[in-house]
Amino acid sequence: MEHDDAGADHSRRHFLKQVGGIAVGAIALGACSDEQNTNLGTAATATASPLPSRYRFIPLIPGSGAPGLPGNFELSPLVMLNNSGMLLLYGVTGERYGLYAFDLDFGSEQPAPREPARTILLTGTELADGRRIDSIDTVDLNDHGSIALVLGTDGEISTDRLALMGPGVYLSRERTAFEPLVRFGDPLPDSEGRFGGVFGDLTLHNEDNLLLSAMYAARDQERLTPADTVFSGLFHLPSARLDGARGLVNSTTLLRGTKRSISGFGLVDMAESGEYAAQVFASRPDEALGALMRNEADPSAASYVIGSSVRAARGTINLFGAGAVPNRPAGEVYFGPRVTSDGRRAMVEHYADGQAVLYLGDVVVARTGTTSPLGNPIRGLSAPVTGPDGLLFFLLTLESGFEICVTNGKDTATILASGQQVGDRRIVTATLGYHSDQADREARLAFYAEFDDGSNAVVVGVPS
Amino acid sequence: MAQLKKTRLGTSDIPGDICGQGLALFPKIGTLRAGVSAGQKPVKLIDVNPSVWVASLEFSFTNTVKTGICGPGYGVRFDLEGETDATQGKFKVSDDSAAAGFFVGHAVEPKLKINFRAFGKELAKASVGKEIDLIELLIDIIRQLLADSTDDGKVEKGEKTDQGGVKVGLWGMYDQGFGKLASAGKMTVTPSYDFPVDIASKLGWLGPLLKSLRKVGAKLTFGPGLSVMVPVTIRLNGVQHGETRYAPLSFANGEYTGQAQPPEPRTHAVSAQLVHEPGFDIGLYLFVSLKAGKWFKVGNQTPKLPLLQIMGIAKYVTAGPYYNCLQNDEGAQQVGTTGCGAAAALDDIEVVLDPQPFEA
Repeated sequence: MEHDDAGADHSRRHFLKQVGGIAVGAIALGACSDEQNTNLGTAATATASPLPSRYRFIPLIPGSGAPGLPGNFELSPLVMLNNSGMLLLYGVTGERYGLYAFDLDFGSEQPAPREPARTILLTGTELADGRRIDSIDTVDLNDHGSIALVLGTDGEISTDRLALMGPGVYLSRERTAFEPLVRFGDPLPDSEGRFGGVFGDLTLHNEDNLLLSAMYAARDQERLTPADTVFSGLFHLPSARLDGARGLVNSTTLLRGTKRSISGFGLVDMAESGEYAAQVFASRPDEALGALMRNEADPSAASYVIGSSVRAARGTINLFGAGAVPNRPAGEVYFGPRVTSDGRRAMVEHYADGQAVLYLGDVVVARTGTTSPLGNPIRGLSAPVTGPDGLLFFLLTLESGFEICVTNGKDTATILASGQQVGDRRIVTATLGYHSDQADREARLAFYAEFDDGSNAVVVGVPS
Repeated sequence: MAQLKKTRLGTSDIPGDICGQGLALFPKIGTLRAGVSAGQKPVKLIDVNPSVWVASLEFSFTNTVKTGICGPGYGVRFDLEGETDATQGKFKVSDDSAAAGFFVGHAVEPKLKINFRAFGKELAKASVGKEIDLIELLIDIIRQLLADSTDDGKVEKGEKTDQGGVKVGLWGMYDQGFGKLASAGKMTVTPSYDFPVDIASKLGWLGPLLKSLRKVGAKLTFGPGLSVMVPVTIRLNGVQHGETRYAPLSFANGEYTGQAQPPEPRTHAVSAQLVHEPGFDIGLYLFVSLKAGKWFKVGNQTPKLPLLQIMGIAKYVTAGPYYNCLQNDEGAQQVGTTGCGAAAALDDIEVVLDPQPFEA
């Protein structure tokens, strides 16, 4: 049911009053012009893609009772959508966690699942390699329906089952069975050493190109010691194969201009072009050690975003945001950075004074303490979601409720706000930004939502 | 020309016995015979409380590291035979093995405080802390890794020791080699280990918290990385047969040759002097992170804790060379004794049971 259904009632009128205007048949975007952005201290881009003019939102997958999902299935905020209409959901059923997929039909007037949900993976079940799935830690999918995961396997420690233990990275190529790509203890692809027991984030793109962060142990050539040293690293696996993979950058790499070196990697994102962005944690080793001895938090600890191309020479990185930009204050990057389809990095920076700012390239598109496109004070920001043609979607947290916005770096508009009627209920909570793959090339959105009657659903937003 | 019958010399008839009957790699630290020294210190890994998130997150994690050590030591065993006269001795070594390593105990006591609210809901809340014997948890993992990496490396689990208020499971690691004293004139063994392991999911008392995080696709990771290296090179430096000592020994074509020297006091007919040059480094680092989907991740990793300093033994760790002596009755088929009269003084060890307070 669309939010602008003919049955609109008091709730709708309330929403009309709130947003200040609505077009028949679809929400009109509450826009914030580039002049407003300039007021936020931004520089507008000259070649911005047009914003979608209207959206309609449909509660497509109910939190309970959806065909193919277990009866006691509980939805989570982890919802993904690819460019082929595949909707991937993570949730829990009793003591078991699972991934389920719907193939959506956007061709008809009303988007709908083509068939009941497919079970992709369940904890407690056995993989083709004989390991039992203990946890689903990280997940990403591409347009061909391939799914890459970090899985914890066989949590019980015992000597006879030790070979089965530890986490691993698995891939299902275009809906085939999951195969192990990299496991705890596997040899490194391009140097002497082995992967450790900690895999971080990953991102999978078409042609199954995989970007993966992981800890590993290897010989430190500079120290020339006979013992291994532990590093964190970012690895590119073309065609998702370990042979041919290579390390892109690792911990100990100095971040130029910061006097800090990378100590670990956070969330990663990659565009089809091979341009990537990675959240990194960094510190000044001497200060970190001193703080450690005094039992104090490391005062030099900071988080940044680095980026480059997977085809660039090893160790070639650029620093984005967080003090790397002249005349821009140094903040912390807690949220997953994104790379837009036109190669810009999008990130949220948090500052010591409590402010948070969402940047698209060098452009400020939202800032806490200012007002939303609908005129509401902004209290918080979500991680962004990239769309087609350089569009960026994000969620603003307000004093009460939220707004979901879209920006092209020049103009910003609200496409959904709390209190709005979606189907026959008012939406009260939405979780856009929980994953980077929540918008497709048609600028359709998919996200978890809760309603005023206590129910929940996966909501799909379609430009109209 | 006198025959030196094949005689077994060594620290133990059990290959790889490095502590109970072993020799101290660093005489001033001592071996297992010195008991266990202990130190402890708290480590604050992370304390973040960003206030302007879509979610609110209060996340602190403090770890107390307790550690004790025995060793490092080495053990060796070989058969010696040869011919000697008034001016020269020629010797051959066979069936030789050497092992080196140390035993150490660690315990950590993580205190975790987490209050994770998002989208108007409390997603996870906990304030917990409990001592974990890391080694109890990691012992099988380490054993497996070492078994994979070397043919002979392994990890042995020892008895629990209560010393200085710290009760920890001991673990040890060593590297063992065979045949090199006979074929190459020296043996180098390098026990080393450095591997990060996430242990959060292995702790039952974290179960409810992890479950609430898993429900929303979030994950808490923390664990230790242990870094250990004990390279040691062992050589046969001299042999005494009866009333003649042959030293220094040179090695060529599988044979040791030494010139006759005045004897030193011995209680057995055959003795051998060994020399070793050790290196030693040990570190422990900790990491922790909390992430939710591709929404956010916060975390930290400490630099390596200089455990040699924390345990108050860094100043005793020097590269040597250090000398030890083995002796036995000629023709014996089981190992004899370590220490050779006056040379036994070299084996005296300084017991470090009360490490100096750690200073940054």
